[in-house]
Amino acid sequence: MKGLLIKDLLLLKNQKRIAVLMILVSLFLLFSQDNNGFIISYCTFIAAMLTLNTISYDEFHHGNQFLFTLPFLRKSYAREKYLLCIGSSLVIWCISTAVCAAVTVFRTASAFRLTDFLLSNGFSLILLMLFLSVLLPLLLKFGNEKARVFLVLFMGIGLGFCVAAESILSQAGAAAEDPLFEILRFLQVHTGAAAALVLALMIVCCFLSYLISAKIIEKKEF
Amino acid sequence: MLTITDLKKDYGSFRLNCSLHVEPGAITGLIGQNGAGKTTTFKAVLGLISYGEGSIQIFGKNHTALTARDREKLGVVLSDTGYSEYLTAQDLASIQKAFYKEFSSREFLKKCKEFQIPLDKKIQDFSTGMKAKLKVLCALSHNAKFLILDEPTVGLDVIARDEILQLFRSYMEEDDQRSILISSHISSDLEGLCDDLYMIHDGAIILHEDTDTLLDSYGLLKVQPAQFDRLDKRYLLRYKKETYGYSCLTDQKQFYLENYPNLAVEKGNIDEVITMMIKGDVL
Repeated sequence: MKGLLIKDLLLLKNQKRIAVLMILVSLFLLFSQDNNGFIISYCTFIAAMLTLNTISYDEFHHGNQFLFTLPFLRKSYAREKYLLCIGSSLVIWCISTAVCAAVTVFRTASAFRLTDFLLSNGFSLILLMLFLSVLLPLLLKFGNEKARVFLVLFMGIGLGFCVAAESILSQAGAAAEDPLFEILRFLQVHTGAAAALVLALMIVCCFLSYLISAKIIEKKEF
Repeated sequence: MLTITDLKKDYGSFRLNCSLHVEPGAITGLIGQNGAGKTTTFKAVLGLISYGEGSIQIFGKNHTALTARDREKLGVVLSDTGYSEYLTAQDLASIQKAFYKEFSSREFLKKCKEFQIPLDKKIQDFSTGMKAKLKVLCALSHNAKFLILDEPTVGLDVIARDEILQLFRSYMEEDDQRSILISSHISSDLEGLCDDLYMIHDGAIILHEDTDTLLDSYGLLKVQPAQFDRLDKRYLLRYKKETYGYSCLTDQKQFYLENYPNLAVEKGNIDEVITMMIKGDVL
Protein backbone atom coordinates (compact mmCIF):
# COMPACT_ATOMS: atom_id res chain seq x y z
CA MET A 1 0.00 0.00 0.00
CA LYS A 2 2.96 2.28 0.62
CA GLY A 3 3.83 2.15 -3.08
CA LEU A 4 0.27 3.06 -4.08
CA LEU A 5 0.22 5.94 -1.64
CA ILE A 6 3.53 7.29 -2.93
CA LYS A 7 2.28 6.97 -6.51
CA ASP A 8 -0.87 8.96 -5.71
CA LEU A 9 1.00 11.63 -3.78
CA LEU A 10 3.36 12.03 -6.75
CA LEU A 11 0.36 12.27 -9.07
CA LEU A 12 -1.22 14.87 -6.79
CA LYS A 13 1.94 16.92 -7.27
CA ASN A 14 0.63 17.55 -10.81
CA GLN A 15 -2.39 19.32 -9.35
CA LYS A 16 -0.45 21.77 -7.22
CA ARG A 17 -1.76 24.73 -9.29
CA ILE A 18 -5.33 23.88 -8.31
CA ALA A 19 -4.24 23.55 -4.68
CA VAL A 20 -2.49 26.95 -4.76
CA LEU A 21 -5.57 28.52 -6.40
CA MET A 22 -7.77 26.95 -3.71
CA ILE A 23 -5.60 28.45 -0.97
CA LEU A 24 -5.63 31.92 -2.60
CA VAL A 25 -9.43 31.91 -3.07
CA SER A 26 -9.90 30.71 0.51
CA LEU A 27 -7.62 33.42 1.90
CA PHE A 28 -9.45 36.06 -0.15
CA LEU A 29 -12.83 34.84 1.14
CA LEU A 30 -11.49 34.58 4.68
CA PHE A 31 -10.38 38.18 4.84
CA SER A 32 -13.09 39.74 2.65
CA GLN A 33 -16.18 38.24 4.27
CA ASP A 34 -17.33 36.34 7.32
CA ASN A 35 -18.48 32.99 5.92
CA ASN A 36 -16.46 30.27 7.63
CA GLY A 37 -18.87 27.50 6.67
CA PHE A 38 -18.41 28.15 2.99
CA ILE A 39 -14.60 28.39 3.19
CA ILE A 40 -14.27 25.13 5.15
CA SER A 41 -16.68 23.28 2.84
CA TYR A 42 -14.94 24.69 -0.24
CA CYS A 43 -11.44 23.61 0.88
CA THR A 44 -12.56 20.16 2.04
CA PHE A 45 -14.55 19.53 -1.14
CA ILE A 46 -11.67 20.59 -3.42
CA ALA A 47 -9.24 18.37 -1.47
CA ALA A 48 -11.60 15.40 -1.88
CA MET A 49 -12.00 16.07 -5.60
CA LEU A 50 -8.24 16.28 -6.13
CA THR A 51 -7.66 12.93 -4.45
CA LEU A 52 -10.59 11.32 -6.29
CA ASN A 53 -8.89 12.39 -9.52
CA THR A 54 -6.15 9.84 -8.82
CA ILE A 55 -8.68 7.12 -9.76
CA SER A 56 -9.01 8.76 -13.19
CA TYR A 57 -5.23 8.98 -13.47
CA ASP A 58 -5.05 5.23 -12.77
CA GLU A 59 -7.62 4.49 -15.48
CA PHE A 60 -5.98 6.67 -18.11
CA HIS A 61 -4.30 4.78 -21.02
CA HIS A 62 -5.53 1.44 -19.56
CA GLY A 63 -3.22 2.18 -16.62
CA ASN A 64 -5.10 -0.18 -14.29
CA GLN A 65 -4.01 -3.14 -16.42
CA PHE A 66 -0.39 -2.47 -15.54
CA LEU A 67 -1.06 -1.17 -12.04
CA PHE A 68 -2.74 -4.40 -10.97
CA THR A 69 0.31 -6.45 -11.98
CA LEU A 70 2.33 -4.68 -9.27
CA PRO A 71 2.96 -6.42 -5.94
CA PHE A 72 -0.03 -5.48 -3.79
CA LEU A 73 -3.26 -7.22 -2.88
CA ARG A 74 -6.37 -5.93 -4.61
CA LYS A 75 -8.11 -4.91 -1.39
CA SER A 76 -5.05 -2.77 -0.59
CA TYR A 77 -5.99 -0.62 -3.58
CA ALA A 78 -9.45 0.09 -2.13
CA ARG A 79 -7.94 0.68 1.32
CA GLU A 80 -5.40 3.12 -0.08
CA LYS A 81 -8.04 5.14 -1.95
CA TYR A 82 -10.18 5.46 1.19
CA LEU A 83 -7.18 6.40 3.26
CA LEU A 84 -6.12 9.01 0.73
CA CYS A 85 -9.55 10.55 0.02
CA ILE A 86 -10.98 10.45 3.53
CA GLY A 87 -7.64 11.15 5.20
CA SER A 88 -6.81 14.17 3.05
CA SER A 89 -10.37 15.54 3.41
CA LEU A 90 -10.11 15.21 7.20
CA VAL A 91 -6.69 16.87 7.28
CA ILE A 92 -7.83 19.76 5.07
CA TRP A 93 -11.04 20.14 7.11
CA CYS A 94 -8.97 20.32 10.32
CA ILE A 95 -6.53 22.85 8.86
CA SER A 96 -9.23 25.06 7.31
CA THR A 97 -11.34 24.86 10.49
CA ALA A 98 -8.33 25.78 12.65
CA VAL A 99 -7.45 28.75 10.41
CA CYS A 100 -11.06 29.97 10.27
CA ALA A 101 -11.41 29.54 14.05
CA ALA A 102 -8.21 31.51 14.66
CA VAL A 103 -9.40 34.35 12.41
CA THR A 104 -12.83 34.35 14.10
CA VAL A 105 -11.21 34.50 17.55
CA PHE A 106 -9.07 37.40 16.37
CA ARG A 107 -12.16 39.20 15.04
CA THR A 108 -14.70 38.45 17.78
CA ALA A 109 -12.85 36.97 20.75
CA SER A 110 -15.67 37.33 23.25
CA ALA A 111 -18.42 35.79 21.11
CA PHE A 112 -16.42 32.71 20.02
CA ARG A 113 -17.52 29.30 21.33
CA LEU A 114 -15.38 26.40 20.04
CA THR A 115 -18.09 23.72 20.47
CA ASP A 116 -20.64 25.72 18.50
CA PHE A 117 -18.03 26.47 15.86
CA LEU A 118 -17.08 22.81 15.44
CA LEU A 119 -20.68 21.62 15.44
CA SER A 120 -21.81 24.12 12.84
CA ASN A 121 -18.86 23.45 10.55
CA GLY A 122 -18.73 19.69 11.12
CA PHE A 123 -21.87 19.34 9.04
CA SER A 124 -19.93 19.93 5.80
CA LEU A 125 -17.46 17.19 6.75
CA ILE A 126 -20.25 14.71 7.47
CA LEU A 127 -21.94 15.53 4.16
CA LEU A 128 -18.65 15.09 2.32
CA MET A 129 -17.99 11.73 3.98
CA LEU A 130 -21.44 10.52 2.95
CA PHE A 131 -20.78 11.82 -0.55
CA LEU A 132 -17.43 9.97 -0.69
CA SER A 133 -19.03 6.81 0.71
CA VAL A 134 -21.37 6.77 -2.28
CA LEU A 135 -18.98 8.08 -4.92
CA LEU A 136 -15.94 5.89 -4.23
CA PRO A 137 -17.65 2.53 -4.90
CA LEU A 138 -19.31 4.03 -8.00
CA LEU A 139 -15.98 5.28 -9.33
CA LEU A 140 -14.26 1.98 -8.66
CA LYS A 141 -17.09 -0.03 -10.22
CA PHE A 142 -17.98 2.05 -13.26
CA GLY A 143 -15.00 4.34 -13.86
CA ASN A 144 -15.00 8.10 -14.05
CA GLU A 145 -17.41 8.65 -16.96
CA LYS A 146 -20.23 6.33 -15.92
CA ALA A 147 -19.88 7.21 -12.23
CA ARG A 148 -20.79 10.84 -13.04
CA VAL A 149 -24.15 9.69 -14.40
CA PHE A 150 -24.81 7.72 -11.23
CA LEU A 151 -23.70 10.70 -9.18
CA VAL A 152 -26.26 12.96 -10.83
CA LEU A 153 -28.88 10.30 -10.12
CA PHE A 154 -27.73 10.05 -6.51
CA MET A 155 -27.88 13.83 -6.07
CA GLY A 156 -31.40 13.84 -7.50
CA ILE A 157 -32.46 11.17 -5.01
CA GLY A 158 -30.73 13.10 -2.21
CA LEU A 159 -32.54 16.30 -3.17
CA GLY A 160 -35.85 14.44 -3.29
CA PHE A 161 -35.12 13.01 0.14
CA CYS A 162 -34.39 16.50 1.53
CA VAL A 163 -37.63 17.91 0.09
CA ALA A 164 -39.59 15.01 1.56
CA ALA A 165 -37.83 15.42 4.94
CA GLU A 166 -38.60 19.15 5.00
CA SER A 167 -42.24 18.43 4.27
CA ILE A 168 -42.38 15.81 7.08
CA LEU A 169 -40.61 18.15 9.50
CA SER A 170 -42.96 21.04 8.80
CA GLN A 171 -45.89 18.71 9.47
CA ALA A 172 -44.15 17.57 12.64
CA GLY A 173 -43.72 21.21 13.62
CA ALA A 174 -47.44 21.72 13.23
CA ALA A 175 -48.16 18.78 15.50
CA ALA A 176 -45.72 19.12 18.38
CA GLU A 177 -46.65 15.76 19.84
CA ASP A 178 -45.30 13.97 16.74
CA PRO A 179 -42.60 11.38 17.73
CA LEU A 180 -40.20 12.71 15.05
CA PHE A 181 -40.52 16.18 16.51
CA GLU A 182 -39.81 14.73 19.95
CA ILE A 183 -36.62 13.08 18.66
CA LEU A 184 -35.49 16.31 17.03
CA ARG A 185 -36.18 18.27 20.21
CA PHE A 186 -34.21 15.67 22.21
CA LEU A 187 -31.25 15.93 19.86
CA GLN A 188 -31.42 19.74 20.01
CA VAL A 189 -31.17 19.63 23.79
CA HIS A 190 -28.49 16.90 23.88
CA THR A 191 -26.20 18.32 21.23
CA GLY A 192 -23.23 16.15 22.27
CA ALA A 193 -25.22 12.94 21.93
CA ALA A 194 -26.54 14.06 18.55
CA ALA A 195 -23.02 14.83 17.33
CA ALA A 196 -21.74 11.45 18.56
CA LEU A 197 -24.64 9.67 16.87
CA VAL A 198 -24.04 11.41 13.53
CA LEU A 199 -20.30 10.75 13.82
CA ALA A 200 -20.92 7.06 14.50
CA LEU A 201 -23.29 6.86 11.52
CA MET A 202 -20.68 8.53 9.35
CA ILE A 203 -18.01 6.01 10.39
CA VAL A 204 -20.39 3.09 9.76
CA CYS A 205 -21.23 4.48 6.29
CA CYS A 206 -17.55 4.88 5.40
CA PHE A 207 -16.72 1.38 6.63
CA LEU A 208 -19.62 -0.23 4.73
CA SER A 209 -18.63 1.73 1.66
CA TYR A 210 -15.04 0.45 2.00
CA LEU A 211 -16.24 -3.16 2.28
CA ILE A 212 -18.29 -2.74 -0.91
CA SER A 213 -15.37 -1.12 -2.73
CA ALA A 214 -12.95 -3.86 -1.68
CA LYS A 215 -15.40 -6.46 -3.05
CA ILE A 216 -15.74 -4.50 -6.31
CA ILE A 217 -11.98 -4.29 -6.80
CA GLU A 218 -11.44 -7.95 -5.96
CA LYS A 219 -13.88 -8.98 -8.70
CA LYS A 220 -12.99 -6.35 -11.27
CA GLU A 221 -11.46 -7.39 -14.60
CA PHE A 222 -9.03 -5.22 -16.51
CA MET B 1 8.27 -21.28 -13.79
CA LEU B 2 4.88 -21.07 -15.51
CA THR B 3 2.46 -23.82 -16.42
CA ILE B 4 -0.84 -23.10 -18.12
CA THR B 5 -3.06 -26.16 -18.40
CA ASP B 6 -6.16 -26.17 -20.62
CA LEU B 7 -6.94 -22.52 -20.01
CA LYS B 8 -10.34 -21.69 -21.44
CA LYS B 9 -11.78 -18.21 -21.72
CA ASP B 10 -14.77 -17.16 -23.83
CA TYR B 11 -15.20 -13.70 -25.30
CA GLY B 12 -18.40 -13.84 -27.35
CA SER B 13 -17.54 -15.98 -30.36
CA PHE B 14 -13.82 -16.07 -29.48
CA ARG B 15 -12.59 -18.93 -27.33
CA LEU B 16 -9.12 -19.16 -25.85
CA ASN B 17 -8.00 -22.74 -25.29
CA CYS B 18 -4.36 -22.76 -24.37
CA SER B 19 -1.72 -24.85 -22.63
CA LEU B 20 1.81 -23.55 -22.24
CA HIS B 21 4.90 -24.20 -20.17
CA VAL B 22 7.91 -22.01 -19.40
CA GLU B 23 10.96 -23.81 -17.99
CA PRO B 24 13.30 -22.19 -15.46
CA GLY B 25 16.22 -20.69 -17.37
CA ALA B 26 14.31 -20.52 -20.66
CA ILE B 27 13.00 -17.76 -22.89
CA THR B 28 9.68 -18.80 -24.35
CA GLY B 29 8.06 -16.87 -27.17
CA LEU B 30 4.39 -16.58 -27.95
CA ILE B 31 3.68 -15.53 -31.50
CA GLY B 32 0.45 -14.98 -33.37
CA GLN B 33 -1.62 -12.51 -35.34
CA ASN B 34 -3.55 -9.62 -33.82
CA GLY B 35 -6.52 -11.01 -31.94
CA ALA B 36 -5.02 -14.52 -31.81
CA GLY B 37 -5.21 -14.59 -27.99
CA LYS B 38 -1.73 -13.52 -26.87
CA THR B 39 -2.81 -10.60 -24.72
CA THR B 40 -5.77 -12.56 -23.30
CA THR B 41 -3.31 -15.29 -22.26
CA PHE B 42 -1.04 -12.72 -20.61
CA LYS B 43 -3.97 -11.08 -18.82
CA ALA B 44 -5.13 -14.44 -17.49
CA VAL B 45 -1.61 -15.25 -16.25
CA LEU B 46 -1.39 -11.86 -14.52
CA GLY B 47 -4.80 -12.29 -12.87
CA LEU B 48 -6.33 -9.34 -14.72
CA ILE B 49 -9.21 -11.42 -16.06
CA SER B 50 -11.08 -14.46 -14.83
CA TYR B 51 -11.36 -17.62 -16.91
CA GLY B 52 -13.78 -20.50 -17.24
CA GLU B 53 -11.66 -23.63 -16.98
CA GLY B 54 -8.06 -24.71 -16.58
CA SER B 55 -5.27 -23.77 -14.24
CA ILE B 56 -2.32 -21.39 -14.15
CA GLN B 57 0.66 -22.12 -11.94
CA ILE B 58 3.43 -19.59 -11.36
CA PHE B 59 6.44 -20.47 -9.17
CA GLY B 60 4.63 -23.75 -8.44
CA LYS B 61 1.58 -21.98 -6.95
CA ASN B 62 -1.86 -21.32 -8.32
CA HIS B 63 -1.57 -17.77 -9.68
CA THR B 64 -4.49 -16.55 -7.56
CA ALA B 65 -2.62 -17.66 -4.43
CA LEU B 66 0.44 -15.51 -5.13
CA THR B 67 1.24 -13.15 -2.30
CA ALA B 68 2.49 -9.59 -2.78
CA ARG B 69 5.97 -10.92 -1.95
CA ASP B 70 5.64 -13.58 -4.70
CA ARG B 71 4.56 -10.93 -7.16
CA GLU B 72 7.74 -8.98 -6.45
CA LYS B 73 9.50 -11.77 -8.33
CA LEU B 74 7.55 -10.90 -11.50
CA GLY B 75 8.63 -8.22 -13.96
CA VAL B 76 5.89 -7.14 -16.34
CA VAL B 77 5.83 -5.13 -19.56
CA LEU B 78 2.48 -4.63 -21.32
CA SER B 79 2.37 -3.20 -24.82
CA ASP B 80 -0.08 -0.33 -24.53
CA THR B 81 0.07 0.54 -20.86
CA GLY B 82 2.42 1.15 -17.97
CA TYR B 83 2.86 3.60 -15.12
CA SER B 84 0.85 6.82 -15.42
CA GLU B 85 2.36 9.09 -18.05
CA TYR B 86 1.98 12.05 -15.67
CA LEU B 87 4.89 10.67 -13.65
CA THR B 88 8.62 11.06 -14.30
CA ALA B 89 11.38 8.43 -14.29
CA GLN B 90 12.54 9.90 -10.97
CA ASP B 91 9.01 9.37 -9.59
CA LEU B 92 9.08 5.76 -10.76
CA ALA B 93 12.27 5.19 -8.77
CA SER B 94 10.45 6.30 -5.58
CA ILE B 95 7.39 4.18 -6.38
CA GLN B 96 9.38 1.07 -7.31
CA LYS B 97 11.45 1.42 -4.13
CA ALA B 98 8.24 1.30 -2.09
CA PHE B 99 6.89 -1.71 -4.00
CA TYR B 100 10.01 -3.89 -4.33
CA LYS B 101 12.40 -4.87 -1.56
CA GLU B 102 15.16 -5.69 -4.05
CA PHE B 103 14.82 -2.53 -6.11
CA SER B 104 18.01 -0.55 -6.46
CA SER B 105 17.37 3.15 -7.11
CA ARG B 106 21.03 3.76 -7.85
CA GLU B 107 21.15 1.00 -10.48
CA PHE B 108 17.83 2.06 -12.02
CA LEU B 109 18.82 5.73 -12.30
CA LYS B 110 22.21 4.72 -13.70
CA LYS B 111 20.51 2.62 -16.38
CA CYS B 112 18.14 5.51 -17.16
CA LYS B 113 21.13 7.77 -17.76
CA GLU B 114 22.84 5.08 -19.84
CA PHE B 115 19.74 4.84 -22.07
CA GLN B 116 19.37 8.64 -22.16
CA ILE B 117 16.03 8.65 -20.37
CA PRO B 118 15.36 12.08 -18.86
CA LEU B 119 14.68 11.80 -15.13
CA ASP B 120 12.61 14.95 -14.60
CA LYS B 121 10.51 14.92 -17.75
CA LYS B 122 6.97 13.50 -17.67
CA ILE B 123 6.64 10.15 -19.45
CA GLN B 124 3.92 11.62 -21.70
CA ASP B 125 6.61 13.78 -23.34
CA PHE B 126 8.88 10.79 -24.09
CA SER B 127 9.37 9.30 -27.56
CA THR B 128 7.93 5.82 -28.20
CA GLY B 129 11.42 4.35 -27.87
CA MET B 130 12.07 6.05 -24.54
CA LYS B 131 8.73 4.85 -23.14
CA ALA B 132 9.46 1.28 -24.20
CA LYS B 133 12.96 1.37 -22.71
CA LEU B 134 11.67 2.81 -19.45
CA LYS B 135 9.04 0.06 -19.14
CA VAL B 136 11.71 -2.59 -19.67
CA LEU B 137 14.10 -0.94 -17.20
CA CYS B 138 11.34 -0.91 -14.57
CA ALA B 139 10.69 -4.62 -15.13
CA LEU B 140 14.41 -5.41 -14.87
CA SER B 141 15.14 -3.19 -11.89
CA HIS B 142 14.04 -5.37 -8.97
CA ASN B 143 15.78 -8.70 -9.52
CA ALA B 144 12.65 -10.42 -10.88
CA LYS B 145 12.80 -14.17 -11.41
CA PHE B 146 10.31 -14.20 -14.23
CA LEU B 147 9.61 -11.60 -16.89
CA ILE B 148 6.24 -11.46 -18.62
CA LEU B 149 6.62 -9.28 -21.69
CA ASP B 150 3.71 -8.53 -24.00
CA GLU B 151 5.03 -6.90 -27.18
CA PRO B 152 7.88 -5.05 -25.47
CA THR B 153 9.40 -3.91 -28.77
CA VAL B 154 6.22 -2.79 -30.54
CA GLY B 155 6.59 0.45 -32.52
CA LEU B 156 10.37 0.62 -32.13
CA ASP B 157 13.03 1.08 -34.78
CA VAL B 158 15.70 -1.57 -35.38
CA ILE B 159 18.32 0.06 -33.15
CA ALA B 160 15.98 0.54 -30.19
CA ARG B 161 14.69 -3.02 -30.58
CA ASP B 162 18.20 -4.38 -30.57
CA GLU B 163 19.06 -2.43 -27.41
CA ILE B 164 16.02 -3.83 -25.63
CA LEU B 165 16.67 -7.40 -26.76
CA GLN B 166 20.25 -7.03 -25.53
CA LEU B 167 18.86 -6.04 -22.11
CA PHE B 168 16.90 -9.30 -22.00
CA ARG B 169 19.97 -11.33 -22.97
CA SER B 170 22.04 -9.67 -20.22
CA TYR B 171 19.23 -10.28 -17.72
CA MET B 172 19.24 -14.00 -18.54
CA GLU B 173 23.04 -14.24 -18.36
CA GLU B 174 23.05 -12.95 -14.77
CA ASP B 175 21.10 -15.94 -13.36
CA ASP B 176 20.42 -19.26 -15.07
CA GLN B 177 17.18 -19.78 -13.12
CA ARG B 178 15.48 -16.72 -14.57
CA SER B 179 12.83 -17.09 -17.28
CA ILE B 180 11.05 -14.92 -19.81
CA LEU B 181 7.69 -15.28 -21.53
CA ILE B 182 7.60 -12.86 -24.44
CA SER B 183 5.14 -12.12 -27.22
CA SER B 184 5.94 -10.21 -30.37
CA HIS B 185 4.72 -9.59 -33.87
CA ILE B 186 8.30 -9.27 -35.02
CA SER B 187 9.46 -12.81 -35.65
CA SER B 188 13.12 -11.88 -36.09
CA ASP B 189 13.13 -10.62 -32.48
CA LEU B 190 11.95 -13.98 -31.23
CA GLU B 191 14.16 -16.03 -33.56
CA GLY B 192 17.30 -14.55 -32.06
CA LEU B 193 16.09 -14.59 -28.46
CA CYS B 194 13.80 -17.50 -27.64
CA ASP B 195 14.63 -21.07 -26.71
CA ASP B 196 11.21 -22.29 -27.72
CA LEU B 197 8.18 -20.85 -29.44
CA TYR B 198 4.44 -21.28 -29.19
CA MET B 199 2.29 -20.22 -32.13
CA ILE B 200 -1.24 -19.20 -31.28
CA HIS B 201 -4.10 -18.80 -33.74
CA ASP B 202 -7.81 -18.21 -33.05
CA GLY B 203 -7.19 -18.82 -29.36
CA ALA B 204 -5.51 -22.20 -29.82
CA ILE B 205 -1.84 -23.21 -29.74
CA ILE B 206 -1.15 -24.57 -33.21
CA LEU B 207 2.56 -25.26 -32.84
CA HIS B 208 5.16 -25.60 -30.10
CA GLU B 209 8.76 -26.12 -31.10
CA ASP B 210 12.33 -25.41 -30.00
CA THR B 211 13.59 -22.42 -31.95
CA ASP B 212 16.70 -24.31 -33.08
CA THR B 213 14.60 -27.21 -34.36
CA LEU B 214 12.27 -24.82 -36.12
CA LEU B 215 15.11 -23.06 -37.87
CA ASP B 216 17.15 -26.20 -38.66
CA SER B 217 14.55 -28.88 -39.46
CA TYR B 218 11.60 -26.92 -40.82
CA GLY B 219 11.62 -26.01 -44.47
CA LEU B 220 9.44 -24.82 -47.26
CA LEU B 221 9.24 -26.97 -50.39
CA LYS B 222 8.28 -25.24 -53.61
CA VAL B 223 6.98 -27.86 -56.00
CA GLN B 224 5.23 -28.07 -59.34
CA PRO B 225 1.98 -30.08 -59.57
CA ALA B 226 3.72 -33.13 -61.09
CA GLN B 227 6.39 -33.08 -58.36
CA PHE B 228 3.70 -32.70 -55.72
CA ASP B 229 1.91 -35.83 -56.94
CA ARG B 230 5.13 -37.91 -56.66
CA LEU B 231 6.16 -36.43 -53.30
CA ASP B 232 6.31 -38.51 -50.12
CA LYS B 233 3.82 -36.59 -48.04
CA ARG B 234 4.45 -38.24 -44.66
CA TYR B 235 6.50 -35.32 -43.36
CA LEU B 236 4.42 -32.48 -44.74
CA LEU B 237 2.62 -30.44 -42.09
CA ARG B 238 0.72 -28.10 -44.41
CA TYR B 239 0.45 -27.36 -48.14
CA LYS B 240 -0.84 -24.36 -50.05
CA LYS B 241 -1.79 -23.88 -53.69
CA GLU B 242 0.41 -21.35 -55.43
CA THR B 243 0.58 -20.01 -59.02
CA TYR B 244 3.56 -22.27 -59.77
CA GLY B 245 2.15 -25.36 -58.05
CA TYR B 246 2.33 -25.90 -54.28
CA SER B 247 4.32 -24.70 -51.31
CA CYS B 248 4.63 -27.29 -48.57
CA LEU B 249 5.78 -26.95 -44.96
CA THR B 250 7.83 -29.79 -43.56
CA ASP B 251 9.52 -30.43 -40.23
CA GLN B 252 11.91 -32.92 -41.94
CA LYS B 253 13.71 -30.66 -44.38
CA GLN B 254 16.74 -32.98 -44.53
CA PHE B 255 14.60 -35.90 -45.71
CA TYR B 256 13.48 -33.98 -48.79
CA LEU B 257 16.93 -32.54 -49.44
CA GLU B 258 18.41 -36.05 -49.51
CA ASN B 259 15.62 -37.84 -51.37
CA TYR B 260 14.51 -35.14 -53.78
CA PRO B 261 17.69 -33.32 -54.83
CA ASN B 262 15.85 -31.42 -57.58
CA LEU B 263 13.32 -29.84 -55.24
CA ALA B 264 13.53 -26.19 -54.25
CA VAL B 265 13.78 -26.33 -50.45
CA GLU B 266 13.95 -23.10 -48.48
CA LYS B 267 15.16 -22.82 -44.92
CA GLY B 268 12.30 -22.37 -42.49
CA ASN B 269 11.75 -19.11 -40.67
CA ILE B 270 9.07 -18.14 -38.21
CA ASP B 271 7.11 -15.95 -40.63
CA GLU B 272 6.84 -18.69 -43.22
CA VAL B 273 6.05 -21.36 -40.67
CA ILE B 274 3.28 -19.32 -39.07
CA THR B 275 1.84 -18.31 -42.46
CA MET B 276 1.75 -21.92 -43.60
CA MET B 277 0.37 -23.17 -40.28
CA ILE B 278 -2.47 -20.64 -40.49
CA LYS B 279 -3.20 -20.47 -44.21
CA GLY B 280 -2.07 -23.88 -45.39
CA ASP B 281 -4.23 -26.99 -45.63
CA VAL B 282 -3.68 -30.22 -43.74
CA LEU B 283 -3.07 -33.26 -45.91
